[in-house]
Amino acid sequence: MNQIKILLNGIIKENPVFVLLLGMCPTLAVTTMAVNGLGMGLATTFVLVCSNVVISLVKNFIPKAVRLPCFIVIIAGFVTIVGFLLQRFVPSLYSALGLFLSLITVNCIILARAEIFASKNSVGKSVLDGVGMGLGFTLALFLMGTCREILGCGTWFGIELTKRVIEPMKLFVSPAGGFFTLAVLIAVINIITKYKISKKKIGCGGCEGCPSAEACASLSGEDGKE
Amino acid sequence: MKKTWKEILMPTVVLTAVTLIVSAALVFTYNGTKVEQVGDLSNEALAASQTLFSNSEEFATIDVPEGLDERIHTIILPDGDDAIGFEIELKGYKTGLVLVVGIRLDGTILGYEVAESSETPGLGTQVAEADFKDQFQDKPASTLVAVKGKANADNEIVAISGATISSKAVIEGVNLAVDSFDEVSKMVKEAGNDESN
Repeated sequence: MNQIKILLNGIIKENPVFVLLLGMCPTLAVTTMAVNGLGMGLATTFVLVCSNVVISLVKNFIPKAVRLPCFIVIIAGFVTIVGFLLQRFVPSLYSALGLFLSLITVNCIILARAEIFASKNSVGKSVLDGVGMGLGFTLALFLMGTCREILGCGTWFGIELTKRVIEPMKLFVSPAGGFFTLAVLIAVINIITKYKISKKKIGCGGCEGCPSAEACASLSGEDGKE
Repeated sequence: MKKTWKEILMPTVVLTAVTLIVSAALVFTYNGTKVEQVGDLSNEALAASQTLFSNSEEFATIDVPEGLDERIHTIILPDGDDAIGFEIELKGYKTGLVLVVGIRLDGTILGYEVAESSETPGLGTQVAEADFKDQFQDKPASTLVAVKGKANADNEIVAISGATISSKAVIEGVNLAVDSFDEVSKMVKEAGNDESN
């Protein structure tokens, strides 16, 4: 059941937002409303899967020296295509995402999965990894958006919930509220999983050049049991 | 370490090839998804016009006559509705609040649609929702004022609580259209008469 493992990896064990702490910029910026978070997550998932597929297909043709520029060109191409499609078919989401749609290009998740996974694995596995990571990202944005919208606007997907009953706290739709919500969510998830997830190194590309290398080593150093 | 010709040439060739292929894909998608431009109307204003003037397929635009408020960007003539559209850009809570306001030829307000907005999500963005928008429908084209709580007169609009600035901006936009309507409709009639002569 290797395939299911790859899929679930991105959703739970190595959730890009809550565990790998990647893609922070859109996570904080577009989650003021749940529908925007969901839309951004799905758009990113689409780009992630497409770029994973293409990069996995051409991985043997791209010389190592230019692999990163090639990856970026391919990713940027797909992001632009998503932009055109949204502008034409879902203009409300297009204007809600605004600048952050173009910033999907430099979303660390997509380049990281291209470099760590898609360039070294088969197309089938790359699709699963893309879908898993994308869904994990979408789930994270959905949670963030839900919390911030309910607390900050009293609505959920535009449906009024507590708006007329409790005064909404505008703090939560501000950037400060974004940081605060994210911190609380990560803390809650860490408590629930009792730090188990962040210690395992499954699927990571090794310690060299990894931004979390210091934190990772010290965690597994503290608890010699894992 | 000397690099062979191949080591220098291949990366360049491959990168160029990737760029060309991606560009071709973009051209294809762009042509497949672009919306035909109508005169000076932005895509967003066109979409708003299509929603507001539901009986119309085609839209013509005419230049704004001299002397009108410079916040009125374009005048829109729908082919299926007896109304004139005004594309107006206002400053609400933030700048960049663009409305398409429709005034019927019989002097009543058709309503408006929000084309672009940077207002606060959940608060100012409510000006785009039916609850607030519907208040304007069918009102006689006279200057409107914002009130809190309840509207007691025909020219009163209840502002959205928590979004007074955005509400007032929209009301001002509609008033701009109302104020300009007489002059513009005269101009349109004269142009129509000229053409049929």
